[in-house]
Amino acid sequence: MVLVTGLLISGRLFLANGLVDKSDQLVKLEKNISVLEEQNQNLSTEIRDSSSLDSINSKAMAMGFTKLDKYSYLPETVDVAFNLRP
Amino acid sequence: MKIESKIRIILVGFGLVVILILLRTAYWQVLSGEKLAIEADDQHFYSLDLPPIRGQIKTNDGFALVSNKETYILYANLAELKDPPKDIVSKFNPILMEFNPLLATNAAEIKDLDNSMIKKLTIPNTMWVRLASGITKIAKDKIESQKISGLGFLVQTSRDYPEASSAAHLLGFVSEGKKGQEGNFGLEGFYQEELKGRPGKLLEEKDAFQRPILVGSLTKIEKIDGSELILSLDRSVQRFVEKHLQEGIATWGASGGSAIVMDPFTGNIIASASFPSFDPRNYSLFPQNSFKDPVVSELYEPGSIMKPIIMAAAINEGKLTPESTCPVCTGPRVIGEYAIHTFNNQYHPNSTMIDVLVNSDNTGMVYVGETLGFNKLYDYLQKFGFTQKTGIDLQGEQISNLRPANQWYPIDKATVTFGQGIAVNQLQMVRAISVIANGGKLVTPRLVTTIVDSLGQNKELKIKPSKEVISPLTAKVLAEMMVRVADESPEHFPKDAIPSLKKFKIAAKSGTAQIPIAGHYEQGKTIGSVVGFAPAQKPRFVVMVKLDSPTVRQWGSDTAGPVFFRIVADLLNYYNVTPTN
Repeated sequence: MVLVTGLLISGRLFLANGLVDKSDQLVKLEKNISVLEEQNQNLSTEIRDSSSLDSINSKAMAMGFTKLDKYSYLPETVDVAFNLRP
Repeated sequence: MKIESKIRIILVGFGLVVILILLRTAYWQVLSGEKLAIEADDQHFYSLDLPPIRGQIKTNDGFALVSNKETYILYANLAELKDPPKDIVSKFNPILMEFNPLLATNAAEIKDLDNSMIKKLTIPNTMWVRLASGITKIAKDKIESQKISGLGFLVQTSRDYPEASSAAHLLGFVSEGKKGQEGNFGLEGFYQEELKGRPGKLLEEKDAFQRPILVGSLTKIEKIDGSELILSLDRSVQRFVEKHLQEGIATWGASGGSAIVMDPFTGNIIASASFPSFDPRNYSLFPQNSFKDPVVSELYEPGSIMKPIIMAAAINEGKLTPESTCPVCTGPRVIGEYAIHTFNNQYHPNSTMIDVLVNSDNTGMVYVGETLGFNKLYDYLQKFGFTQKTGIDLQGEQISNLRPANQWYPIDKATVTFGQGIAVNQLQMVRAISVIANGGKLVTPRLVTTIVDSLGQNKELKIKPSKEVISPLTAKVLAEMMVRVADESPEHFPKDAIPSLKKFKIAAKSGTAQIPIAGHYEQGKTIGSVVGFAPAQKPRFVVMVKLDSPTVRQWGSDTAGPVFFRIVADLLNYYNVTPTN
């Protein structure tokens, strides 16, 4: 009887100790999740800022692109790239 | 004393002690039980509010025009400050201003900002004071590198605007209220319920070291994030519309202006811009009256852009045709004590109805109104939507109530034919012209096409059914007449200034409205506007441009005209519309 009680108490202590250890791991995981979520949000913000029209416009200007003010239309009846050889 | 008596006394004593213990136990368990249980729960349980993430607002290409980002609140723990307040402020304030130049734009404002911060740092009997909010991570890192003792940061979620203040009037802004984030004006205000979501709560049992007890109880009410709004707005179109409008306002010395681009068949708003505008990130730095969207909340007399509407009514009723002539267009029309002139005091006897529109002839329009009859005219003003809200999903739409038909004086019946004596908002005008563009139907303008809930379920919003106002034939005839206006109007109507437009059929009408003030019209001040659509035979869009009080020139065709045609040219190119001619 004493042996069984002793085993049960030891088992409970062992289990409780294990759970405390798991709790520590859980706290660490929650912190990691929070850090990753923050980084994820910061990255999303950076992506949005980089793909904004202001940002694209300034990059395009820096690369030498300019707005085309004059454009021409090809007549529908003209075959383009056909009959090039005599 | 006998031993029995002693035992009895001891037993009574024990009995009293037992009774006292029972009473005390009853006190703890019954009377104070609830209070103690709460105190115990406070020690065992950790409660955490789970705030929902406010829904994003996206343009039609899925780009988040409004999103959320983590920012920081800068606070001071006054008891821990070591340096003099002036020195502390001189360390962090320049960084705040570097990352938010709107905080202070000149030396006087910088001094005011410094003083207000010093004041905050010297409030008596205070431990904690909030200094600034919405601080970016880069600014926070820079302030932290100054190692100022007593300053700290708290994380907060703020609205993020990757396209800065683009479409600010449409979006509105978000403020911190008692119930959390509150949307104000524009879409943020109109869709507050959809965007805000529902907060959740976590109740978890923790040990003495605040670690969760894995076998303990856990109650979690899941938060529901706000829904996303997908707009019909095209951010590229919005950008060039804003650019052309700003340039137009500067060129013509206008006090402000607005421009709208709408799909005439669905009512989808493709772009809508107004200036002066505000920065939704720093809304508190702008006056209250700058938040309302002038496109829906400002009423004005439209002037001559009303003429195609009245003409459409007369042609639809079979009272006139485009070739009908005006027998009374030989000179000014006298109505009671008033004389109605044309804008340039030139008169065209026997003008056709096409000429009346091309010359923007006020006397000809009075004839159109008389031929149509006032009751029918009044009926058509209602049918074209001038007596009701457009139904746009934006906060703050204003409309003017038409007086009952029997309260109109003869002069009012005459002037309404050329857009005076009636007040409309700009979107009502765009909606009415869309009737001509789309074959005769009155559509309901809208901005949100789809709502995506937090689980990713799409709810497509159906286009509201439209009523037929004029026949498809009348609409076609009017469209052709408006093309003639754009092609043949007096030489200053600037379609030809953009060579690429010569190849397209564009329907347009300009208007120059006077500004009513205290029973008369304000001298020298006008509102210039142009409305139209392209390509006229199969319209892709309706565009309206309005410039307020231009100072360089007064006519709508001169001022709003060039802006209108630049926007149309860019739209035709953007949508790859092939030329008609």
